[in-house]
Amino acid sequence: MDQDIRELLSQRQKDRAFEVLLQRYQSKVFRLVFSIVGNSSRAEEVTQDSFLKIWQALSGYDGRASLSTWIYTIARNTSISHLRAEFYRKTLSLEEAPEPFANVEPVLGRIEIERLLTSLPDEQREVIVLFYLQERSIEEVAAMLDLPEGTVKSHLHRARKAMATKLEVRR
Amino acid sequence: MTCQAAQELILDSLDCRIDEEQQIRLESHIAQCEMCRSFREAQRVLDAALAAHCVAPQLSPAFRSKLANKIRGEKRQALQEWLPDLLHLGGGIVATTACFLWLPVSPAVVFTVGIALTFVSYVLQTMFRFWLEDLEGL
Repeated sequence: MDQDIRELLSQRQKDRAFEVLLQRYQSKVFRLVFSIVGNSSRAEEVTQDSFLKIWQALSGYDGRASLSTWIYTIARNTSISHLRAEFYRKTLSLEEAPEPFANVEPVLGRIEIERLLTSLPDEQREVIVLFYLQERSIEEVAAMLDLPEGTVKSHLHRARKAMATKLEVRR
Repeated sequence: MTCQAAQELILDSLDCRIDEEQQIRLESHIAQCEMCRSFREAQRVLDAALAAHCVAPQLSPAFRSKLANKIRGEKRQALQEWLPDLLHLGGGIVATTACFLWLPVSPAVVFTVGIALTFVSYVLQTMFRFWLEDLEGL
């Protein structure tokens, strides 16, 4: 996996390697960032910043971590820095509240689901959102968050139980 | 099967496939346990709601061009940062070469003085730039 990118880097073809990397990872990184920042336009901006950092650091990539782990770590750190900066800059206004993920009305209202999701601890919320964004792939979520698959499962279980309990209490 | 084990299996079945034997044991427990039946129902409703809610957003068509602009800006900035150094070095080489060609002094002296002056003026220029950056930062 990603051997082609490593080869291009070893041939000092940074721009070509970046092009392949961008094509392969842009959607995944966007979803990861979105699961953290919770707003698609901000997520797009943070995704651009993440790829800018990846581009800047690409020549220095030493291959110790797998390329995907390296990319996801940069994206996660960029998202967290962005959230911190936002937190210090202003308190969330109503307009800036995390946007709903999709314009659909499922069995539970989207506001209710949004409330349940925001009530979860950060790591559980990220895991559960990514799980659905990544088409229920525990393996992919584990790779993106650099967690063992068992930990991802355990976060999923806890999040589901907590959400169901809160739902029960509200009804 | 205990209720706790049954509920873990229910959650497992939402995250990944459970095997046939586990499925049979779970169904037989649920058939007799009202609490686990409603737990499964609640989890199924929640799962469907989450699946409908968490739909992956798409990157806008302008994503690539905006990123390309940012990278171009970064390249320009890097060049701008190096430009004074490159110009200084180029100027030093040109001046030393001109002195070598036109001054009636031995080449060794010209090169030694040229290198020394280039180095000293580079240090002064760098100090001046740091001083200006400090002023901007105030």
